[in-house]
Amino acid sequence: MDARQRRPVLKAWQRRILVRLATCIVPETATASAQSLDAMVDAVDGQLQPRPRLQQIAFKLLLLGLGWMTLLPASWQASLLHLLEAFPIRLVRVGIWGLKTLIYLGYYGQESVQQRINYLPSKLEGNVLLHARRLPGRA
Amino acid sequence: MDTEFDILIIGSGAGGATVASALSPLCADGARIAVLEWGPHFKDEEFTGGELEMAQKLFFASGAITNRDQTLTVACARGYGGSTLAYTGTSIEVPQRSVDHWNVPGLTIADLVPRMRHYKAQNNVHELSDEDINENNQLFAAGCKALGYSVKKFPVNIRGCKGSGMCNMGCPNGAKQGTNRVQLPAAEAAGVQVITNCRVHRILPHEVEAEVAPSPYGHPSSWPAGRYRLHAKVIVVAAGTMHSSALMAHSRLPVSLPALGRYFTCHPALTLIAQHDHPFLNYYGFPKTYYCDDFEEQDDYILETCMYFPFTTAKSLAGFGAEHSALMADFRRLQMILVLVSDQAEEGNRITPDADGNPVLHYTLSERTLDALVDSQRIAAKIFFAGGAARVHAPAADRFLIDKADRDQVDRLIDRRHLKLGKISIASAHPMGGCRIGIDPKNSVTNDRGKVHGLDWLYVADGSLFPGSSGVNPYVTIMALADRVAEGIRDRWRAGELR
Repeated sequence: MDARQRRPVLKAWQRRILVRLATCIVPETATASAQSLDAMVDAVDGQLQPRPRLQQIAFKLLLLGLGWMTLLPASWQASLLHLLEAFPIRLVRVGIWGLKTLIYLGYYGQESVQQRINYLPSKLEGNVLLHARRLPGRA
Repeated sequence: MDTEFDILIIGSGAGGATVASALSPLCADGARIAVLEWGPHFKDEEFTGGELEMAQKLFFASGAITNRDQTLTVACARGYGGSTLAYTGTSIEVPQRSVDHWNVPGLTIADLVPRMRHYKAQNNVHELSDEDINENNQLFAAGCKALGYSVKKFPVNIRGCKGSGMCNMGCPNGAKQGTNRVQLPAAEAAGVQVITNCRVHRILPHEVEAEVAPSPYGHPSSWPAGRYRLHAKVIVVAAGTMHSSALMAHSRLPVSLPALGRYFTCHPALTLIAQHDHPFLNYYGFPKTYYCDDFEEQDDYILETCMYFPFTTAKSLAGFGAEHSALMADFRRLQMILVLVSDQAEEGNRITPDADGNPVLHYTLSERTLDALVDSQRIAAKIFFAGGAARVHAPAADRFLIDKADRDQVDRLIDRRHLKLGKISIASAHPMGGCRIGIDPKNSVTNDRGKVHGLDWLYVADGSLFPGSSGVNPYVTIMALADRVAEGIRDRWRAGELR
């Protein structure tokens, strides 16, 4: 059950494609630190590990299929992904949804990113802060 | 280890724990009762509030069991307390119209109401005081009132809530009165054994094959790791809707149950998100206070307040890129509404087991459900704007954000042709059916007391009993149905049938 004890699902080249695709889905990742990108890909890998092998293969095939797209200019990549996201064939839409969801998981699941977007919950003092009408985060 | 029991209960959620607590007085009369729970008994300090960490710890497949065509995800938790660990604790009674629609002889609203009220009292169900209601909820109420919709307060089962807003990741303060806090400790105090980290692989006549395996989380199981064959006079399956049907079908029971796993419903849901121009107090305090059921009877949906976490929010948005990032850039400006559709019980929507006994969900979103999902987005958008939102994201709109300048156009901008399955995140946290109550074994699995047709030693006591969708958040109804199941078993024990 401990993901750290398992072998990674994604190979180095697949991790690189994922990072490049992420810049199209979450543009901030283009300027994210190496540490944050590693955390993002590790989280994606952690989600894939307990999934059935067929699903893992399907995701790798998706990366392979979309890898060439990252050679295009950014605006073309976005247009193409928008097209695929609403593609007439459901299986294609599902694939793009899965890719997006995993990238969102890897990125927005990070505590440092959550803090940056002013998501700063309090385990013990939520009601205290509510009653004090104190807004979280930066002004 | 004692492997001989009178009553074995599989699962410790709203159903299993209710049966355990209701039957626990029989322990004083010599009854040997055990609860077998697949997940661990989490330590209080393990409820950290970390979004991904808790999803992985608490839920099967991190909260995203998908249907076969991958157009829907279903969240089911495991652990001491089952899915009551991860619900919000909203405690609504099933409405009479739902029970009437179920149309099961012997199952009446008059019978269910006192049971629901008993468990609501046990779980400290009450309405929040106004001072504890945050602005995400207030804006919903204001929007509904401005449009002339009725808005109701959720009764909630909390005690000493500190307003962390983390209910769906397991309360970090033990405030939510799930079965892990109320029914299970009471049952254990009365003599019921609860064995955690214990997965049941198969059910045989008066017997189960179970396995205790170590978990990296929680208190160690009271039993050593290993495989067990446990015997009982009566077995109660309460493994949760998804897993009860799968386990029973995998077990190849000695009777024909053609309806097993079928008539699955799940309240398909969308999280809708609006952006305000200024930050407000949206995630401090209890997340779910109000709902509007004006559209339940005619249009098959209810609208509820909600406030989820960053990843869950990001994935609920259809789209990506700069506009998605701009919406996510300041979480304090987001308002959320959850829409839940009362889907129809259809024979073809079903759960089957895979080779290991895990559930495989065959579920198709019907045209009626899709229409309700679109219509509910229009109503939610109007509520957002009436509450002061600047922009609204609706997955079935022709654009990523509808600006308030276009608020009069929402009926046109949100349209069924833009709702593309597979593109949008449709989720369920209310799986129901699969072992439905009924008279006829051709279209039901149990009788009105949860006893499986043709087997006097096997019962079901969880959300899988629902003959159709409840139309409202189901846990109180599950407890009431489980209480009926326990009553039937208790009557047999007292009559000497089970001694």
